[in-house]
Formats: sequence, C-alpha cells, structure tokens
Amino acid sequence: MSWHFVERWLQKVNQHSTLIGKFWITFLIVFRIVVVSSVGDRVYSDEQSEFKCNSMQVGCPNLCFNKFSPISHIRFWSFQIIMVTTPSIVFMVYSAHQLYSSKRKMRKRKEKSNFGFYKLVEMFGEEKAAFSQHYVLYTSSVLMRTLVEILFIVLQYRLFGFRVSELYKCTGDPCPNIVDCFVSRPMEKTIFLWFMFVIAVICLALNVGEMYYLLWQFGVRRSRLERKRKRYRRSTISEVRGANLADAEILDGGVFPVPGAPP
Amino acid sequence: MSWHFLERWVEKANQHSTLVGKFWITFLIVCRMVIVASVGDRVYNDEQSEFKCNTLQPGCTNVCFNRFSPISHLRFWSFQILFVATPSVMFVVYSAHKSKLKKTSSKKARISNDEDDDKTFAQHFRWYLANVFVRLCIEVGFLVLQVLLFGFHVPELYKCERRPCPNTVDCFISRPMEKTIFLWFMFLYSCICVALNLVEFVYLVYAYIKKQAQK
Repeated sequence: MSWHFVERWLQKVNQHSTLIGKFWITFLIVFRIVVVSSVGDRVYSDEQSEFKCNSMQVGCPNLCFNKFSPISHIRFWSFQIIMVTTPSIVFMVYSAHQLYSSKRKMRKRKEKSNFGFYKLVEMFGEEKAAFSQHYVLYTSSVLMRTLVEILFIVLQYRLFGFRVSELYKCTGDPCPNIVDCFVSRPMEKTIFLWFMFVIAVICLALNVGEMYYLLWQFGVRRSRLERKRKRYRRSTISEVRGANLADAEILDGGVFPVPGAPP
Repeated sequence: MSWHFLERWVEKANQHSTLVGKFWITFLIVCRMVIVASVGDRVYNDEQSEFKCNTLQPGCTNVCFNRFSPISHLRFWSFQILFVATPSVMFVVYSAHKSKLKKTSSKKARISNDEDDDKTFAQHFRWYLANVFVRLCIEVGFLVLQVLLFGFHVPELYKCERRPCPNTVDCFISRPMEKTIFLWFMFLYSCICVALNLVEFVYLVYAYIKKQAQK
C-alpha cells in the first residue's frame, strides 16, 4: 500500500503545527491510516466474494451488492483521509515555498533597499517577520480541516449508519421478486464503523480545540501588542512603523508554528 | 507497487517549481498516485472475475469483458500519471545537468559573469515554460480521452452481442457505483490539475512580459 506518500507529507506538516495539531496528525496516522491501509484490508477484501444471495440468477448478486454497498467503507475512509489532510498539506507546501523564496531573496539582495523590513528582521528574526500571514493561512487550514471532518462524519452517518446488518433484502432486475442476501462479517464491520466514527469525533474535537486555542492566543497577543506598541512609539527607531511591528509582534513567543522552525 | 521511483523524481521537480507548480505536484502525488496505487487496487482487482454473463457459453464472458473494458480505469490513470509527470522529470534532468556544467565552468573561470547568469536564467525560464505548456496539453488530452472512453457513469448491465455469445447476452459489472464515484473523483482532480497548470502558464507568461517591458 502506498500511504507512505501521505505519511511523509504529514510528517513535514508536523513541523509546521501547534501541539494540538501534532496530536491530530498522530491520531490520523496511527488510528486512521494504519486501520485503513493494513487492518481493514483483510476485513473488507472478501466483501463481494462472500456476499451470498439466495438466487442462482446470474447477475443478481452483482446488482444486490451494488445496491447494498455503493461505496465500500474502506474507500470512504480513504477519501476522508485524503480530503482531511489536503488543507494541511497545501499549507505546508505554501509555507516551505515562502521560506525558500524569502531566503533566496535575502541572499540575492545586494543593497538593503527596504530598511524597515531589515530592521524588523534584525529585531524579531527572519521567520517571525513573515509570521502574521502564516498565522492567517494556518488558521484557515485548520478551519477547512474542521469543516471537512464535520462533512465526512455526517456523510458516514447518512451512508452507513451505525450498524451493518446480516441480511439484505434485494429487489430489482434481474433478481426474481425479493432475494435474501447475506453480508460478510457484519459484526466486525459494525465494530469498525463505531471505531472510525469515534476517532473522527476525537479528531474533530482536536481541531475545534486548536481553533479555539489559536483564536484565544490571537486575542492575548493583540492586547500584549497594544502595550508594546505604546512603548515602541517612544522608541528612537522611528523608521520602523508601528503597523509593521504589530504584525511581527503577534507571533512573538514561539507558541505558534514558525515556518521552517525545528519540530 | 513501485510508484516511489516516480515519486522521488517528482519531488526533485518540486524544488524547481513555482508555488502553483508545487501545488500541482502535491495534488498529483497525494490524490492521484495514492488513489491509483492503493485505494483503487481493491476496487478493480476483481473486475474480471466478478464480471458475470448470463450464459454458459465458454469464451463469451471473456469476449464481452474485453469489449466492455478495452482498458481498465486504473491502467488508464496510471498512464495518465506517467505521461503527465514526464515533462517535469525531463526538466529536472536538464536542470541538474546544466547546473553541474555551470559549477564546473565557474570553478575553472573563477569569476561569475552577470551576463551569463541572465542568459542561463532566460534559457531555464523558457524550458520551464515549455515544460508547463506540454504538461497542460497532456492533462487536457487525458481529460478529453477519459470522457470519450469512459464517460461519467458505469452501468450495472452491459448487453453483449459478439461471437461466440449466442444472440444478446446480459453481462453484469462488478461494483458499478463505486467505479462511477472513482470516475467522478479522478475527473474532478484532473480538472483541478488542468486549472493549476493553466494558472501557472498564464502567470509565467505575464511575468515574462512584465520583465521584458521593464528592460
């Protein structure tokens, strides 16, 4: 199975995440990717071959299986993992690109044409000078992730419910009248349904927690910034505008994910 | 599956790409390679064994399956990934070669020439633009081909009239709804990739024109 592609990218995302974000990634990898790629494979590998219908009519089991299971649980969870990780991976790609191109620009610049920017960098460090933009994008990625999680939880409930029945009564051409079809491993699949539902809810809670934490930190930093801004207005470094300082200050503290910072 | 060979080359292409190009590579690897290499494998591995025709005539099922599915969706998407990644891989090879040559010649010359740097950058830029253009054409080509070959729906029933089948035979496809979902999913991702390539191409052309105008 080739989920290692996603795993490697997620490990890069790990470097750009808050602590709660790192817990979310851990839950995702350990409980969801491992279950979908390894554990669940054996449970669902015979779902069609062991789906037996009480009819000799050719094509009837195919039709009934298609009606009973328009999409397999495993495929649904695979799509869920891919969609849920996409916002974070997109943010990581953007973040890495910004860091790479800003480092390149710093190396190539022969004259310090933007005195304010360089003063900012001297005072707060290269990474923090670009942080405010990063913060907004990171928060957006967490918000997108949360919405996708909610969507898939609702979709799972609507498509599959909480129980896989042992018997499915099937009607439709070419099956004659009503045909009884028997599902393979219904109890095991019910346990999987519950397990993945609970993990999805936990991941959603982590995302909501992270959103709340980011917004709360934003509020705390804003008030701290106001105090510092008043101090800096009296400062001799008058070239650096208060607005520029504000952006960098919001990120002070190293609590937030800093682009390129070690994990 | 040995997709990691291609994945490594495509990741090298990541270093030579614009931001939009990097997003394209992400979508290629995360969504398409994972779907084709892992997720789709279970859906399509029983496509022939579970393709049941309502006849006992030997050979009829084989002939009908061959007629219904000249190429499996999964194989089509595998070829799509290979063809679409090829221009980027070619560019990486060219770029690495040029970079090596430049290092060797600058060591010998011991001076860096600004004019030479500009010329190299211009050449690099033209080849990168060509790479994006070829990629865009290939993406559009495969998108159109997917629509023409497979459409947007996999039916449950296929009526087959080929020798040695007697008259018209009903054949039933395995997991048609799941395959329809996959068709739509891959179609949408191809559209996103076409859009990303188009945006990148337009952005590069605009940047080039702007730079020429400044000169």
